[in-house]
Amino acid sequence: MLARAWTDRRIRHLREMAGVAGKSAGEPVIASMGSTAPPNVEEPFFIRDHIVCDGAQVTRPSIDPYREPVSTYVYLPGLGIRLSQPLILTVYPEYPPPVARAFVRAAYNHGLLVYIRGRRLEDYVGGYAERILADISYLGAAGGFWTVSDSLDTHPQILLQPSKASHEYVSSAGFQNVCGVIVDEDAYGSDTPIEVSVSLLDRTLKQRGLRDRVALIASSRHVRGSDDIFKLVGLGADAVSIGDAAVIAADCLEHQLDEDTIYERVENLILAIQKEVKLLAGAAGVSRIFSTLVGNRELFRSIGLRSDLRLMLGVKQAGVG
Amino acid sequence: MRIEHIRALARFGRPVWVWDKAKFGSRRILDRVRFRAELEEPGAEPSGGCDADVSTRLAYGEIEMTSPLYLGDMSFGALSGIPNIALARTADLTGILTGTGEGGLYEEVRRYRRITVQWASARFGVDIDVLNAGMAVVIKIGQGAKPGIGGHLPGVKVTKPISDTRRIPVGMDAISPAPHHDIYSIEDLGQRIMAIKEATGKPVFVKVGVTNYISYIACGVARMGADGIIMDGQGAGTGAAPAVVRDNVGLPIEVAVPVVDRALRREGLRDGFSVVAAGRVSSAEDAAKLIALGADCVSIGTAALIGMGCIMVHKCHLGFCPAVLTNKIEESPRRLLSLETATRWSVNLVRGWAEELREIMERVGVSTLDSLISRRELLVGEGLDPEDAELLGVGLASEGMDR
Repeated sequence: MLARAWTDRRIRHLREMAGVAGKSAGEPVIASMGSTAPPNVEEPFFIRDHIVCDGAQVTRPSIDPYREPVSTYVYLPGLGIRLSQPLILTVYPEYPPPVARAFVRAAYNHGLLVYIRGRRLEDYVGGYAERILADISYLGAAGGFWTVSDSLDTHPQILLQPSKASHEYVSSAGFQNVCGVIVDEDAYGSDTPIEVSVSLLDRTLKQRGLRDRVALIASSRHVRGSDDIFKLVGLGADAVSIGDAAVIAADCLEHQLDEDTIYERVENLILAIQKEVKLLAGAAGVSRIFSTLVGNRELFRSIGLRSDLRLMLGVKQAGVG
Repeated sequence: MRIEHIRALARFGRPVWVWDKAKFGSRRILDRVRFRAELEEPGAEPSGGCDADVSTRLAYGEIEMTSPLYLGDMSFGALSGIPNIALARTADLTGILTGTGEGGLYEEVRRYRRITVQWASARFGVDIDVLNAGMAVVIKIGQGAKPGIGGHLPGVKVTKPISDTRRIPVGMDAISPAPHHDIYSIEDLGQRIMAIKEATGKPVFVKVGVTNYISYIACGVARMGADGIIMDGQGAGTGAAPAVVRDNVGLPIEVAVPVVDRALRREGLRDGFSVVAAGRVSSAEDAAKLIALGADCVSIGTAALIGMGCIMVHKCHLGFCPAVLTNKIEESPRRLLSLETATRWSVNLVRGWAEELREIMERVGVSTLDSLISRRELLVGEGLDPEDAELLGVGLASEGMDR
């Protein structure tokens, strides 16, 4: 089921942004005629496919994303880090070294973070440590990274959690020193769609008064583009991590590409995603992602979602004012 | 199947079916709403000679229409000239209305009477003569394919004739501002509506995309003295739009129509105020259902293009349309659409469409279009989420027929 979520339309879109196809690398993809997207035409795969974004009109003017500033910065509260956009690159264990190095460089140069999972670090870190999240058990000689672990016992700075509907750990004593949580939909033990667990965790953190010092990061291999990122941020994430989307965009697993080519394509993708996020934000009348989009569920409506899911997400039904 | 149906209408101008046979298995909410009359007589065939009255009046009675069809606002530039003329001629010949889009008024189109002129955020070519040229003025705030984002004519299509009409450099993308920079509130909109009315004496429509707060927007538009609202739903066509916006922003029209209709009635603003529903309207049954949900009139854009030969390659923004509808406008084009054929096809489409609407009205048991408007009890949801059915104000098929 999940492989089918990468439709040809999605893959082509990503590759046009990365400059692998088409003639406008680093730009939002332009299309024409009516939409064929889910949930009305194509089959919806994820909860986020049932969510539509707002467009601002008259009573609340939209912002012209081509001419007026839309600030995409987000701050990760506990880490004291500013990301140029709500985006984190994840290097999964199976990615070859040139891909990993290209990701690290692109994330560093664009003011993002890169999360290197399940591998030793020495080859990649060169001076980039301050922008690297690393598994606590794979720490090499160099220092300065942000440490990630799935257990509070190891005193990580960032806690890696499977995507679950319950968030009891938020109140546990060891959690007091954690400055961020990565909700990972692919982790062992995940049993809840990422949209639901991000939304619930965001509200749990708010209820416990912790939201302004704990960063919330959504991670899934099935984040397919800027619309998914926009929706997950609106549901409560400070940043969203992508991995496979960038690899697919750069078309770099089947072909043996050198690091610079991959770097260039990932850079194009990062720029295009930022522009698309600006388009979605501008259309919705949002001029600042961090203060107006993060956790702003009122910008969304759902089509064809069960009422219990809507309640958990905090998203209203389409047509309800 | 929908496409073939539209082509058959355009070719022969006669009703093809009574009930839309293409709706089954669709995910669209509107396709899961059916007339109760269809459940009673699912296999109905067109009988011909139905005499239901499909004429209607818009804008507090100022505009008379022979059938409730508005040919969508497609600009000179997005379309390649001949289709613009064909649509305007069709409106004149059949007594309906056509929109001219935002790209300035094309001289060949100006001579036709039953057009509306558009006052959009970039104000391309708008002057008092243009505003006075049509039957009504449309203030375009948004469109269904990209609510909150301005019009977009890609640089490849900005050729010399377009450059002359719009007064912009050749080859540069023409991207209209997302908001009107003199409309930042409902009060601002009221001032613009009044200014246009004072200058022209014509009815003013406001065109918006369907978004979260559509009922408040519609009430505001009505309260500020507009004569009607054109609501464009998600999935509506566009000449060029960022794919991410087209695919993720906006709500379907069938959700907006009943919600807006109820809100306007609650506020006492519905009488005489026109509600035009647009976005994925693809058959007479869609039109009839939207009217029964609370619209006065529907707008078709993509369907009109299909009637003129569109084969839906989804490449309008590149300027090499194989059906020569949306190709770039050159001074010496190699291929041109035949104006005669295009007009004949779209006139046929409008007539066939109206005939099918009559067939449906006869089966439903209403003799005038007015008595079909806001008749939600004639509809029933099948395979529809109960909450959606409640929002739409229609019953569910499983609840029995005697409701």
